[in-house]
Amino acid sequence: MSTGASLGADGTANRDGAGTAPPRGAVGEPAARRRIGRWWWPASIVIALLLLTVLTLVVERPPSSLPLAPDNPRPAGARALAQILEREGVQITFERTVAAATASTEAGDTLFITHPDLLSAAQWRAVDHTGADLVLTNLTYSELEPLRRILETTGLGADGVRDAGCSDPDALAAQTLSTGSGDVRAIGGGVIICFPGTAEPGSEPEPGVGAYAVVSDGDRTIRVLANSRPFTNEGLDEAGNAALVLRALGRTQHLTWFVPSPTDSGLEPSGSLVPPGAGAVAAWGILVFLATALWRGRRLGRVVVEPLPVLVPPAETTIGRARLYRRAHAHGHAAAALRAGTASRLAHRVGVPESSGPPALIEALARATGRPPSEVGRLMYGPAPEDDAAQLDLVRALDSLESEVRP
Amino acid sequence: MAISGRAVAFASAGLIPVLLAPRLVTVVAWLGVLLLLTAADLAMATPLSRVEVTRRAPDGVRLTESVSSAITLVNDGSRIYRGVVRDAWQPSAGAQANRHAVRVAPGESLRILTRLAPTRRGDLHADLVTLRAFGPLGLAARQSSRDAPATLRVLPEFRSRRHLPSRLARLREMDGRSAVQVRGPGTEFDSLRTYVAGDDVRAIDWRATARRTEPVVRTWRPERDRRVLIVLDVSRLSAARLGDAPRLEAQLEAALLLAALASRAGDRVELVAVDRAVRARVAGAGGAALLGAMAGAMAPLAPALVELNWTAVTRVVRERLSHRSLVVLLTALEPAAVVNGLLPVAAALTRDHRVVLASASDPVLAELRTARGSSAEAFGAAAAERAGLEREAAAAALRRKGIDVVDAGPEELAPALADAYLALKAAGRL
Repeated sequence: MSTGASLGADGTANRDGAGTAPPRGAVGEPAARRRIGRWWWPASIVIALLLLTVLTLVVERPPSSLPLAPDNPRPAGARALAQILEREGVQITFERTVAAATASTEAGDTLFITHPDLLSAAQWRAVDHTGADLVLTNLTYSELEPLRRILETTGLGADGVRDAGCSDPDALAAQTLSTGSGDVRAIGGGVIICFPGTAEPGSEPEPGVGAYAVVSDGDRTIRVLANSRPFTNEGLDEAGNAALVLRALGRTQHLTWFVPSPTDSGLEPSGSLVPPGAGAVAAWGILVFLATALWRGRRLGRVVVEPLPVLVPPAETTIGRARLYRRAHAHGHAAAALRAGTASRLAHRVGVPESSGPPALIEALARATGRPPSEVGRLMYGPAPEDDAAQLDLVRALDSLESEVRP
Repeated sequence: MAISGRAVAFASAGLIPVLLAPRLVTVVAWLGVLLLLTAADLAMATPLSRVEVTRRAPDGVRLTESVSSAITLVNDGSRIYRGVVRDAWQPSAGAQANRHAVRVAPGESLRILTRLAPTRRGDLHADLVTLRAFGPLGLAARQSSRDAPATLRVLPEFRSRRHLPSRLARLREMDGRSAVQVRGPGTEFDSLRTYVAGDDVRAIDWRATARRTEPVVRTWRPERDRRVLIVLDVSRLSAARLGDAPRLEAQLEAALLLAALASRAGDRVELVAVDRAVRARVAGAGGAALLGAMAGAMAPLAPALVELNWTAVTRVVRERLSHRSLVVLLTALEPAAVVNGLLPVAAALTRDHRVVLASASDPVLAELRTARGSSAEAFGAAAAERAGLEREAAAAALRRKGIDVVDAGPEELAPALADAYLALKAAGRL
């Protein structure tokens, strides 16, 4: 039948609605809506992913918390310095790896290394070979050629403001420097030490020990600031710090700002963890995947659908009535039905015509079971139960009465 | 087109050259070789337009039995056809192994059989026949689907035929029984025979005895050549699921058993299936042809969610039956349907005919009525009691109108109806 085929789509049929409802899929508009509905979820996920990508590209990166990074606005960062330099026309390239730093630095540029101690000897050589002017800070021990022969670091040196005390034009321009602990000591020639420090507060400055060293090494200059405080946002505006570091870093048009990363151990560009030829194997994998998809995805003919028959669930009206009784707490109605059913069966069994009234049935049942008529009467025609428990008790009492009356 | 697992294996084997020369160009070269071989293989596969397909399905099969449907392939092309054929049927046709590997030389034909084990009664339709032809390398294949319509008519199972022998034995017992036990207005005189001890003396035919020297008794046989009209309700009431199957299946079983029994008893049986209008009709068939005709007419019947048209039922009864006959209504004892539909026309039916209403009852109701586990089940029991009382009231109303009611579970309906028929026949009340 046509109804069976059209209602078979959802597997069941509703006895009430089925006669009037139009067959599904007969009208074009709902079918189109169903098609859209099927694509709605995948499409919304794709759109959400696209939006997320665009947002991550558009929205500014959160400021870094890396010490001495040019984009770090915190006290230990150096964004103030970087912004001043950029405003003055210095082109800053911020790098984290030796490979990138050496690649973007040419002879005649300035290379600012915030933590040169993190560099290995090979990395240092690579940096040294760029031929750029170097600005170093946080130099806690000096094993780096050629500085090893010229400078050594001391952990001494007190905080405070010091005077230039040398002939370097930058230091003279700055006049004073506010620095933290740590000094460098000249042990070789060709080095100018400025801002001489005192080992202890109040004592005389030791000759050849200071917070700032300028080493002329051939056609380039290495400037060493023992402590990095003058570069930081916090310390930049103290004493003559700004003048000194701006002159040291702003000497050339291009500045490479290199904050070494502890995880950067090699000289090659990153990505070298992937073995060679992996790209080709991946391409082969994609090829095999696509071939498998083609092989398994092609059906041998279309899917055959089964026209499903109409089926009405069993006893659905009775179950519905039971739920209505329960929802309405209709214990009275339910008990009346239970008693009437029992009465009908027992009257048949004891041979009392159904048309004869309750007294005749009570009497016959009392005789059949040996129970007093008052008890049988209360059970069969007594007050209706008030709650679920009383109703269950009534059902069981009726059952036991029925079991006592044998045909 | 389609590619085979062999093509995928070839693509996988590309790992060796890729590992030997790990460059992208190796992969591209391997892909190029694969594409080239696939294209060549595809070009050398036999063109499927030159393969003819015909399908032949058997006419009918009884449910629970299995048959074979045949497909004949004729290769008119010049190349060998090597590939796969899928003989698609709707799922309930039970075509399990319907994919066949085939090899047909040019100019030859091949017949392949698909085993069908239907799981549902009715007209089951075949879907497309899909052909896939591989090239000589077996890498790629052409594919096309053909429409080769076929229909398998699955007849009712007639599971109730196991009740037939015992009922036929009862029928034979009724033959030749003495008159007092079976006398009624419709009982027919059969023959005279000599009195033997035990015969009822009231059966002695005195006039015949006077002509002979020994007592003679009359014997009677059940009435013959009565008409039985089975009215099958295929409306919404027959869609209710009783156990595993709709009520209609129980009704069909009962109708088949009654028809088999009544035709052996010498009565003429007719069948009409009605919902809003007459859906199927069997008339004029007798003997061995009757059951076949009935099963064939029943096969495509399916319940429809419409109300039974009782006016159409009375019209059919008036048209088909001129003499007093037995009308068997195979419907459901639903109080609402009975009160609104059958009771108003009951008088018109019972005035001219003997009417029996046979209904398969819902076993779930009995389970509901005796469930005592929780308060929810107590409400269920109350609702089932109420439903049972209403059914009894409806049955009582029908009996008052002169309609006999047979109410039994789906498995027991067929024997119960047969017993009711035998009782009527024995009492001569047909």
